[in-house]
Amino acid sequence: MREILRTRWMRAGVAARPRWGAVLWGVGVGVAVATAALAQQQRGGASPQDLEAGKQVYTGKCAQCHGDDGKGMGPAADSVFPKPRDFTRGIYKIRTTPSGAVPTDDDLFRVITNGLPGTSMPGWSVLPERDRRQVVQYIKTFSGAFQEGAPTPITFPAEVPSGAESVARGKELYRDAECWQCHGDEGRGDGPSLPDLRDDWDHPIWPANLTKCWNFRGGSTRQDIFRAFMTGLSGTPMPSYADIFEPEQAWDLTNYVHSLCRDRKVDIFVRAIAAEGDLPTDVNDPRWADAPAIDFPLVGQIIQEPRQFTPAIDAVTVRAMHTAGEIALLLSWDDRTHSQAKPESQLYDDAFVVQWPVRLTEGPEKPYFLYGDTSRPAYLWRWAANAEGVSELNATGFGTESPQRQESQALKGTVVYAHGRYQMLVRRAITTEDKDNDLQFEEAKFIPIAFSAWDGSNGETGNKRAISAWYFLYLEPTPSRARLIYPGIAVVAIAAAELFFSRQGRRRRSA
Amino acid sequence: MRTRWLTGLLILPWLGIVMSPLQGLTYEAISVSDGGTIVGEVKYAGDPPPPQKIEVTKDANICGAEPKLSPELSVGADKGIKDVVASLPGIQKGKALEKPAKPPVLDQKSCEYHPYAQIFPVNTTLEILNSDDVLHNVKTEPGSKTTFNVAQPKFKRKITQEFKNPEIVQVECNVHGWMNAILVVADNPYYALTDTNGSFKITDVPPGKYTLKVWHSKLGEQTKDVTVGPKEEVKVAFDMKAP
Repeated sequence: MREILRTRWMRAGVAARPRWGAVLWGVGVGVAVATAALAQQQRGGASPQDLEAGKQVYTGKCAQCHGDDGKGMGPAADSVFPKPRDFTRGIYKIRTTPSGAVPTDDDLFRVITNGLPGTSMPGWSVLPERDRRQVVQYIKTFSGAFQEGAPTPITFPAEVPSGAESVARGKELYRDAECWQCHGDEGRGDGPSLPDLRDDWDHPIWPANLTKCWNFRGGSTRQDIFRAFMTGLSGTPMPSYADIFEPEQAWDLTNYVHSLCRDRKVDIFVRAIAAEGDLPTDVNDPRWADAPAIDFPLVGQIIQEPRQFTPAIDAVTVRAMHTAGEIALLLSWDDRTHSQAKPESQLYDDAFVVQWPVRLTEGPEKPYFLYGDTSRPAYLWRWAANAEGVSELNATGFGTESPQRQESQALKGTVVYAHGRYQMLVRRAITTEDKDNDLQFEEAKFIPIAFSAWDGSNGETGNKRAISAWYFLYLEPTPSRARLIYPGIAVVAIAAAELFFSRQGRRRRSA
Repeated sequence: MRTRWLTGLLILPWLGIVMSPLQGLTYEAISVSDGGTIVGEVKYAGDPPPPQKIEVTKDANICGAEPKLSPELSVGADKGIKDVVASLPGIQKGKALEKPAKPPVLDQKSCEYHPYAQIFPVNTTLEILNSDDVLHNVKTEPGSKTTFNVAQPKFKRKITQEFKNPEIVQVECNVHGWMNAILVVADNPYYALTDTNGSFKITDVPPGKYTLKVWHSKLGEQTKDVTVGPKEEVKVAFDMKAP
């Protein structure tokens, strides 16, 4: 066809210049432009220069996880969970477009810019905007799904402001629409459908823990939440509810889900408040509300073999209170399943360890954070799903843990599992007789504390665990008798002084 | 005037190039008076595996407490395989692809899809019913061009979904992991499903040479060349087994 066109064009051009030539020029250029435009449209509207530049960015920044071929199997893919996106299928979770549709360029641009919270995908706002736009175009070339272009984004109907009534209506919808089948009745992602859930790549997938909105992949604003259940998360079991709810209902549900997110306070120490009378013996004792709750992050143990790159437990929340004679800690962590070891399966015991140094030092030295070392042994409080209560151990490094003698065991521990959350209450005397092996708590000091957690259903056992760095527990000084004595002495002293001076004054006047 | 004429001539072939990808999709309806019939039988080669039982692990009050029989591989007493899809993939001309009088229906009842497999023409809207008092979601399994994942809570008795690509779409429910169904979206009327005896029949086939294809979700696909004479009945037998 091209051949014919060129021949005719040339022949006609020679024979009938200038009129014919001009026409043919026009047509030729028109056709060429149209062809180029068509080809460009098929590539998603990007110029070859943009695609080449996008490829450069991709190779440098993205291929490590997503692979040179875009299949999500780069060299680092095995060490991350959730797995990197396979771009070749054109399936994307975070979109403003209806279920099954490809995302818009802006959707991809936002994900690249902001990253995906709760995953290994960082935000790339450090890259110039042009680079990010170009890499969007390049990523689209991995899949034919983009050829027809993205459909119109969903619209956001007038918002229903959040408030007690809207949240209450949303809570009913959460129950009636059975969001709990996956997300659990309190929203911790522990619903009854959990064991069957897999994504389109046949990887196990967890429903979002709605109480930890900071991990929502697509963001945690009310608009983000609304969008997530209206469009669904393609490639995952999370369906679209676009045709299910009226707009007001969708906002009510949004407001309820938004209200499930708990306040999170992250710090490097937790304050044990000084309490009067007996310490709580129940995880649900209302007095725990008086103790500040601090979240300590947990990460996979990747220093010693076997490593755990993909731990399931990402934080522990700690509250503490004490009296002059006793200390109580309330630790809670989310785990979607309660697992106990079964010999025939890859299921291990859920477990938790609170780690302390045996001795407090004045300096910054602490035991090695993976269960201590020979010069600075660690003192451990350990609970496991197969055992009763919480027991005391000592260790000088991982693998050396040994339980203390029965007569030295001094912890009173209870562990409760409900609605996707463990709550562990441990009490101990401030000081014990076994001073060689037990930490002796002291008030008004920063006492090192660290944690290890195992989710047995996530293949975690032994050194495959989630760990924390050293953090601190600070025991608020208890109100002592000194508090009453010193003001008393002061009152007496001032009264005596006043008496003395007034007598002196009287003597002088009388003299 | 001559210029305009030439312009038109020059643009025409380009239009042809642009439109050409669409040509492969068109199926031409003609009147078929002397069509033949393909009668087929699909049997399991060797000993079929025992019927797979599905334990109902949740929502037993709605789904039923008794274990269910998986519809995915259903082999009859004489080894006939049910729900094999037979088709003539290359057929270009034949009887008209009629829109069904009533919209096709996929019903979710007792946490099973009814029917398990069905055929309907492309660009048809499927009615998806939830007859259960429990949440289902209807999600396409990977592999089809059509992708969607829609929720259907118990208060939403009917939703609809249009199918624009001729292909086989498999759907599943994530709330009840054992549920799955097969939707055959046909671009011509020469599709058939095997019955419980493994038999199928394709009628009104214009005389000619064809490739006959059988497909099963667990057993893969096979093809055979068939020649259909005017008003002839051609018998074809397939043996399939698990790969």
